[in-house]
Amino acid sequence: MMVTGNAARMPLTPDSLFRPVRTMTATIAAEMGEVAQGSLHFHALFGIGIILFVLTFLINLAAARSIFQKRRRGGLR
Amino acid sequence: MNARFVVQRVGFALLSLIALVVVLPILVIVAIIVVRGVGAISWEFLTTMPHDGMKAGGILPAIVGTIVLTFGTAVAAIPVGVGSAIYLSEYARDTLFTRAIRLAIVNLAGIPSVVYGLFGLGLFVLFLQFGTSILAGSLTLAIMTLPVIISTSEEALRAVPTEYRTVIASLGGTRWQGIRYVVLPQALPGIITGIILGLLRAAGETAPILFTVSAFFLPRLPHSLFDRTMALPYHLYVISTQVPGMPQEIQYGTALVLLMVVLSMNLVATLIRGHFRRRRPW
Repeated sequence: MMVTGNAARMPLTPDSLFRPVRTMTATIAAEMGEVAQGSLHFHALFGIGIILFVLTFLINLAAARSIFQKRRRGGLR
Repeated sequence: MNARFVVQRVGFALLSLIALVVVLPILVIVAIIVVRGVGAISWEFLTTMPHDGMKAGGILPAIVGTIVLTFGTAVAAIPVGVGSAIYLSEYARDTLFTRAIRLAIVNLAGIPSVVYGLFGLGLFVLFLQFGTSILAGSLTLAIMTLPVIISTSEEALRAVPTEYRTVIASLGGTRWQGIRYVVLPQALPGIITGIILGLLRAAGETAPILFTVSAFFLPRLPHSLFDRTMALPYHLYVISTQVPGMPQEIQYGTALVLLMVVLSMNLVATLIRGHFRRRRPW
């Protein structure tokens, strides 16, 4: 959040590597402090949270599945 | 010399170089923060309130806030964490139910810390109406710490050889007696290490306390569980992004204090582990 510059723009071109961007986590952290509770903006930030949660959940699920399968075949331990 | 040994030499050299690259950033970070921040450290800096819009004075409320929050996290997370570790390693069979629990723990560990902050804001601050408070923050941090405590404690409990449990059973002891008087004491150093590592993560996090506890500028010590407080990581974030014209020395001084708190906790964990590992009978 401190080093990416936190600017809302789409990093679509190669030179974006050297330009500021904004991540989902930084958006929540930066905007939640100054948003009216119960407003559309407030709920939108929670929406970003849900997307983040689902993404990490799916990745973890995939990782856990491969571990469980290995265990069943006697691969791990 | 045989060509394949040359290949092996080169490969090992490359691998050790990569290992060095991993260590280098840590050394550089510590060096930079110590060099730039050591000038700010004084008795006054550690024991007085900030003033002049945080540009002068000390960081006492942030230090106290971090200590209080870490303590609150410990009180909330340790019983639940160690309890579930005991259940998972000693009692639970491999059923769909325990798999679901394990999956939940793995997931809990992977969630971004801002999402914990949002969750704490939604549940503790707004729904349960704790308000922005030490209580809400400690509970949020405790939930974030749980997966670390559970997985390390479970690992420590599993490391105790099965024979210990068998012997207790052969002496007519119940399963609980075995756990209480033999397995748990044996696993304790591992469990303590896990707890310290978990709390360490909690002590250094900014995002979960952002909406649940943190006061931007509160030059007094917290009065009750429902009070807001400053905390070191959030204070550091505030003074390095939100306050124009902040003296760099105070920023790096604060970073140094935070680093020292976390590193000394880490050192204690390492010492405990080393101390008990040498005395372990197996």
